[in-house]
Amino acid sequence: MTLQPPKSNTSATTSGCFHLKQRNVHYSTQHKYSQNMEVATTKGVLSHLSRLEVQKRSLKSQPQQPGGVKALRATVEALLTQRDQLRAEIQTHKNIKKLRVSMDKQCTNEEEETEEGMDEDSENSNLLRLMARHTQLKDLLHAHNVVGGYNVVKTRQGKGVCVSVATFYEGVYLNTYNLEIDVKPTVRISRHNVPPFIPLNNLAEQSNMQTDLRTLLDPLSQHLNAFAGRQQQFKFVKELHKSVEVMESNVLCSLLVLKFTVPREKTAVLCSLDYTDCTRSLPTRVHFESDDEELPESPVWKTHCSFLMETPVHKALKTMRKTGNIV
Amino acid sequence: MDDSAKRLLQRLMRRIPTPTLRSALEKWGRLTTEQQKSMDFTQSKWALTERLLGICEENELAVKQLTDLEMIHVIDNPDQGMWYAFQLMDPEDDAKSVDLTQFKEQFKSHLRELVRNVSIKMKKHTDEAVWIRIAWGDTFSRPNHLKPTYIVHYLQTPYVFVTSITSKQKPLLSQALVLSTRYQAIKDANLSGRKLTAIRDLLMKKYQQVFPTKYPIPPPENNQTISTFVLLFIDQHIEKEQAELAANRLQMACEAFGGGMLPQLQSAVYKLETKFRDHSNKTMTEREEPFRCVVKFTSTNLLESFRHCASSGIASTPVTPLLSCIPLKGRNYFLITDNGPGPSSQRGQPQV
Repeated sequence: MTLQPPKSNTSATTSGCFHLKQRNVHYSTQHKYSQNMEVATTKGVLSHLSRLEVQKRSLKSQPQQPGGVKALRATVEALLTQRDQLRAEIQTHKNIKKLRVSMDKQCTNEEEETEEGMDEDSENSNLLRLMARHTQLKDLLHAHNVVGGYNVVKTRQGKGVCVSVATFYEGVYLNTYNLEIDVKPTVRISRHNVPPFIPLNNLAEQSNMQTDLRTLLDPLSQHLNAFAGRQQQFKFVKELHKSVEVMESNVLCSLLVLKFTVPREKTAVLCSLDYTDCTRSLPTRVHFESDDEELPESPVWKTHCSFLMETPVHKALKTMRKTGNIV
Repeated sequence: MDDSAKRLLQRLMRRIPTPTLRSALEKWGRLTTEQQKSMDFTQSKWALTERLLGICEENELAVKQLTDLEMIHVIDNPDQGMWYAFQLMDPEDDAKSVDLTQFKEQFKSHLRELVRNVSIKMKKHTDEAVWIRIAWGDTFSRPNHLKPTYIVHYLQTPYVFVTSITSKQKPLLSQALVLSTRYQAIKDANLSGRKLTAIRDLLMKKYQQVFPTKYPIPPPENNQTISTFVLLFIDQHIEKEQAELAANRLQMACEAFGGGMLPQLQSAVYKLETKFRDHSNKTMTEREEPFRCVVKFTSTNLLESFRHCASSGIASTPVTPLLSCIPLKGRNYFLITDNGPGPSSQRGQPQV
């Protein structure tokens, strides 16, 4: 904690240690401080000296550690064992590194496994090999994470890559979309099988793909997965809920209009689900229309509205049919 | 039934082959069950036409209902006539939220503003395609139902497929389409073919494409039948040696054109404007105008033919971009000009 040195002339003669503990002095204003310093100068030196004396006495009177030498020896032992442990670890790491070099070569060349001359016995060498394989897999996983978990394959002798974006919904793998990307001279998409209603060109323009490809791949994956999710939901609605009529949908699966029939009264309710956010597989707006104008305003249908906003549509319909709200 | 309706029906009956007639009539739903039963589909077309004419008179059907029948037939048999693809450009912000009702209303109102007498019919198909039938008229004449234009569009995609349109009608249609889909312009996609499904699948990327992977495709099984015949003449060792090369060629051919069933294009046209480069023929090389020629490839399944050329080694691999850009860019009409005075290739750098 440093204090501002006072600016008045009287403090010019004070030494540094004066600034440490002047409890009598208020530091709020410079003027006050310089005034107080004049008063506290003589008091401060003597009180400080006496404090130092007290400290020295207390140090002397402190009881010695019982068996101090013994404790120190024990510490020495512990440190020695730690040093030995660390040395052993370093040696292991060196051995694993050697193994990894040969293992990585094996992976790329697919040669027959060559036996490295190991000094340790066979059990140790097996363990070492296992540990090396473990580190190899960890590195592979890390690399996979760095590329965002997308499958990437080198093409055209390193001048291009082919990235695969997988889509899945509810634990089931669906379509895989591929992008062939030139890396030299500039990063450019040369070929792909992304459908035309996914705004790939827009995403590419808005991304930073020259420096970080993930700024393109992550939003693209989001769009594709959301689309796959919506597509699956629409498919399930058509297959599993034959009593609900699909009045309208589109290729992008951003709009779904369903016709429900309310049991007993047999009134028809038109339900429009808008999925205006193409990065999500849940609707942004749910709207009911019916000849019976009061029906959409009733509390039951209001809960249906919020239910459909939060639940995938095929599951929501299942519940609604079970509870008897729709046929 | 008035004359125009009669002529339309006769034309329809000429167009619709007997095997598909029964299902078309059923879908149309304008015949009672007795009337449907009374149609004997083993009779000649002429007899069927007469019978149908009689039924339509009984039911007092007019041109409006007959155009329904025509539309049903065309939608179920889209691979007839010549289809041309167009591409919408520069969407507005609300282009992706255009819904069917809005598109229908807007298209009809815009087209009716541009053309006085026009008959428009719009229908949504189960695969999300919007089918439009337009019978064109003008200030002085009623719509001509004998030469309608058919248009197919998938909302939220930039592609429009058109058949049977004249150059006079094209700008009117373009205007109506651009305004109702909320884009800013429309251009020719330079893709045409007899099969709507083929050009649609090509542009919408609905066919199986092949990408480089760690695991190349295994060679097709039918090679074995060829090899048993050829084994008499070719050493088995040669086969074995060539196997890897053949697999590579197949992989490259499939990457360029696709795997599995390919969209059936019938032709590809390359219009070249280049310079004649044979130094022994001074008259030709000294001409100032560019040397123009047209190269046309035709086939019942053009992409399949190209793929086979590449995989069997007739065409060199890697496949030249002049051929692989057919599926890549989704077009089969190219204008190739020289890239200026370049020493690189004899054909000149293609600028597509």
